[in-house]
Amino acid sequence: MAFLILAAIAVASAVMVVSVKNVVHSAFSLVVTLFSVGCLFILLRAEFLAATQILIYVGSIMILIIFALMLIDIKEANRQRRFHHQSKFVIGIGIILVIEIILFIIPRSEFIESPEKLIARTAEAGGNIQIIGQSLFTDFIFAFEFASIIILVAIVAAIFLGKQPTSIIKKSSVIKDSS
Amino acid sequence: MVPLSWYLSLSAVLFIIGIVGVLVRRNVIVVFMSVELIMNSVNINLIAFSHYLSSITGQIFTIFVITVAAAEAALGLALIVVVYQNKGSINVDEMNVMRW
Repeated sequence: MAFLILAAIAVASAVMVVSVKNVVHSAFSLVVTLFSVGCLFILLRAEFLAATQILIYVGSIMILIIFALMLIDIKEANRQRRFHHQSKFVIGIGIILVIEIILFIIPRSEFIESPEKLIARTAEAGGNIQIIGQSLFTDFIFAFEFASIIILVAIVAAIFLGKQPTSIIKKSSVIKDSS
Repeated sequence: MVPLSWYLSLSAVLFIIGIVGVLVRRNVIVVFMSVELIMNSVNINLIAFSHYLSSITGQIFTIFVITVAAAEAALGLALIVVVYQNKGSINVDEMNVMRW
């Protein structure tokens, strides 16, 4: 039952993200979607990832998006057309796919017994965070270090892009003039 | 207990909504938010399989997906702001400088 409520909230606000005219409103409905997906993670007994989802997505990525919205002219963007010309075709295909999922996949699903093995292992290790930490720092240590390098590269690139926008403008105008 | 395929269906529906948003909207920031929706649906898939197959690997992989999403957010929004400063608009169909 909790799953159905959370899934309905997530899908409804995801539709709002795509369809609402005001960009700020769609940003806030994205917050609702991400939050209810985080609650679904708690239902799946992934407590650490639920906390991570809410901290990183709702906390930092949405703040970044709202800051970017502050840096641009939202009123001008809201006044313009929302959709492309071919949007009816795409929306039709999307609705057909969703109906297919509802008609053919959901009624044929079987109720699986609650998986006890991972729950027992988690309780033995002392919780979800402990078991994630253990495997993250033993089996997946290379991927962990690689992820930190990816973040470092992204931060350096973002700082470079945000640092001197005027020089980039000059360069692009020079290219436009020469062509 | 909710069956596994319900979670997979929810994630597929969110994925389709994200794809439709990427293809349909003209505002770059809404396209960007739709990409975040797509990544979230992938996370639901990974964690549902991790729960029903009794393996922790799906949750570990989700951490890396969230990491890549954070890096992509920082970089993509910096690019959007630079494009806005250069062109004065954030419509997808006006970003055609690199088209030959």
